[in-house]
Amino acid sequence: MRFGVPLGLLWFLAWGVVLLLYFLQRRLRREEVSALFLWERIPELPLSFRERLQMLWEPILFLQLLAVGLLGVAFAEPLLRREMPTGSVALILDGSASMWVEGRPAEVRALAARIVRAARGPWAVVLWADPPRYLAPPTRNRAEALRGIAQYAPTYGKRCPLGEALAFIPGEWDRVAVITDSPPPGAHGLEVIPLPRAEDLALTAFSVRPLPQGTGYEAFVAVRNMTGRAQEVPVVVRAGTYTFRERLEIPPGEERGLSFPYFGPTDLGFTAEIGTDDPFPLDDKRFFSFGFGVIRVRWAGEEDRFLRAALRAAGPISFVDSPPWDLTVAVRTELAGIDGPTLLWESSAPGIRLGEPVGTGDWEAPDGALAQTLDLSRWEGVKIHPVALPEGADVLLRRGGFPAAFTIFTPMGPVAVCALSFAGAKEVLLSPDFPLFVRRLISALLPPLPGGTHGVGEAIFLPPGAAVILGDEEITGSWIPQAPGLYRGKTGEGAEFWVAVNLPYGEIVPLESGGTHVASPREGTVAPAEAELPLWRAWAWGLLLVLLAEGALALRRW
Amino acid sequence: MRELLGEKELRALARLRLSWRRPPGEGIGGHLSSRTGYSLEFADFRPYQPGDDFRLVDWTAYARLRKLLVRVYKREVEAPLYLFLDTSASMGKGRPVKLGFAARLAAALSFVAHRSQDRFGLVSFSARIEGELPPKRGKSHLATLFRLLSTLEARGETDLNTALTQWASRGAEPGICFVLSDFLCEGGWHEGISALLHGRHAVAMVQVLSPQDLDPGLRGELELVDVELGKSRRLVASVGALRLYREALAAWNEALSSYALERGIPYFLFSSRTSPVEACWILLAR
Repeated sequence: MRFGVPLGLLWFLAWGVVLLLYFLQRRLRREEVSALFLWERIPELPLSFRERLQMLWEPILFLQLLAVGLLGVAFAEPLLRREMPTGSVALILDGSASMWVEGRPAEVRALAARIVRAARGPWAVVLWADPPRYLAPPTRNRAEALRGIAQYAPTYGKRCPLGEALAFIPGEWDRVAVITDSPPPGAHGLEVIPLPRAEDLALTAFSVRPLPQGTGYEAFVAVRNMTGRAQEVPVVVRAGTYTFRERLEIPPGEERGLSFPYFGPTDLGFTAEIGTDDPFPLDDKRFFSFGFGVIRVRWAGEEDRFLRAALRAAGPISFVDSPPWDLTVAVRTELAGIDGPTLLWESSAPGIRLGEPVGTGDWEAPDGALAQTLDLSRWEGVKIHPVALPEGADVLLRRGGFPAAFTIFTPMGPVAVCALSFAGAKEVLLSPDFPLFVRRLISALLPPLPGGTHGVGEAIFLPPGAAVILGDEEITGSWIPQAPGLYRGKTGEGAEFWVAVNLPYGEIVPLESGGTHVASPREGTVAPAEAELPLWRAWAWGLLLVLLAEGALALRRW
Repeated sequence: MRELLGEKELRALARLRLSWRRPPGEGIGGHLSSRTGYSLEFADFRPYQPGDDFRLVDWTAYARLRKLLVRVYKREVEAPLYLFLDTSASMGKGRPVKLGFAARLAAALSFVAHRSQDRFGLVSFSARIEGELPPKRGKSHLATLFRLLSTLEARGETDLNTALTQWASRGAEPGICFVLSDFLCEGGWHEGISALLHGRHAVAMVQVLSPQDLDPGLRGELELVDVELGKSRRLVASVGALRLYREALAAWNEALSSYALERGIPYFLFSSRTSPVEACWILLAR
């Protein structure tokens, strides 16, 4: 039962008035007796607590309170839900990835078929996915509707706003039922048949990002425990031949993260996986890749294979001869002008003029990252070109008081200058210090490497010449992945790259609305079609009876 | 008549007969007296004395014993029925009203007397004699009495002593007196009843109390008002107070009962809820 005008229940406050009047009224009652002399010898006796209570209690008071209560309920317009035969039925079946819980698709098909069989029709069945689509368009043929339901299978993506699915069923319907595992907040006027969320362990995050120092990468994994007990979860991260294993202890309802350093190559696909046997395996695996986010480099000046190798190690690099490019690397030359991010490697440019190399002086690393990662005691053979430090430059490394490496932001783009000559220091070129030094310079020039991680159903625009390989098919241009996975591709130059596609986050973790978790129902049940029967007349009759009883009682007393 | 007693009740009462162990009265009537006289009811033998009616000699006994013995018979006397009905204000209380029950009982008794061809009369009283219907026989008298009973109203104070003494002092013909009252009279009843006894009447005390008199279902703070005197008293009617009232009433009734027992007066206590026919059966079955 519900109330059409809940404010009518405020009438119950009148109880206070009735009680107040009752307690304020004169309590002395006049009674005529046949023989007062029999009462005259009776002394005043103390009353027991029970007797006092009984004295306060009057049947007429009870009837008055009951009358006021009935009046309050009648004013609130009580409505009783009652079953009624169903005519037309529109079914909205949640087709988001979270419906892939073990046995869930069959359960949805059975529930929907039961509703269709119980109704006279017409029927319509809509798959609530992104985009939504008809499983059975509005029809008067029950078999057609049942065939549509039999075709129901969730997608691997998220679902669209409910309104878009409802747009498929315009007009008047006796019953619009939504079968879903996460009831949308504010779905008023619809019959929502909720299905239980599975007890689940889910990988909620997996990414690899450059360290702030530019010296390497850091992988991050987050696992949420949506079961009712603490879990010890094995986590495995794979990238090529690299494997990382760890165990996470996660209390119920909480999320735990794990990060670890990674210094391997970046042109690989990364896979994180948790070992669990929960009924929703789709969220036990996540993927990551740097994708096709290749840094296009224009090479100017002399050839330097050590520098090329160090650049490749720093990220996905492709060398281009024509615009556009992301980075210009000038090696032992003199640039006519700055055009975008530029690495001046023993090179000069307008406003930055290098002198002849000298090999004396102590090393000094104002940049903390370099100070921590480089072993400068081995850099004795490295010489330095004296250079006048431009105004606003940020010095990373010094020798003998001269700036050895610095960065500066010019109107034409950021510039990193390496004024060091490694010609007489082969051992430094072969040491790990060299690629770390180069990566630090590049990280100062470019934003973090673009990720190749996407969600199912999300449009991916491939760069010109790049293609994703799906079996025998090569997809170019734009591509909308339909299932999670790690997809291989190749650039126009033939370089391999990976695109990671994951389940949308909302399909893993229940929806939240206004900071409140949507309640997870325990079981899915099909409620019969219902109508609301106004009850105020029955209440009014009850009130009349109570008033008559009260009147009879008052008459009897009188 | 229909207002007081229904047809069924009258049929049930028709089987009853008014009898008294030692009926007063002088005239010849239908009540067997313990005194000897002329009737068909044999009482005893006694030796013949000169002057005795020669027809009363038992010749069979003379043949066997060779002695003259005379047969003695019981005397049948006439005893008028006096119905004393208390019409004080206290008789108007109760559910059912006490006066209503008492009037119906009086009607039942007068009907039985009528069936026994006895004379019957009614005396209504409160603090004095309010009305009187002298004892007579006959159907029309019964109708008059019933009419009178149905018009009685409860009012005034009770004074049994004054009213009964006043009536007894007139020296009415001895008869059977049924005093129908609640006997809730602070001034007592002894003198009135004694006056009736002194007038050689056979007396029966019929106390009529309402269920509310016997067990008042009162509760809370009360102002108790005496329906006759108008006096009042404030009282919280607790369980203990009600118990004390019941004890006081029982002691009052016990005094009535003891008084009656000492003087050989039949005493009855009826609730006004009792059927008048049933009460009449109890009264006349003694």
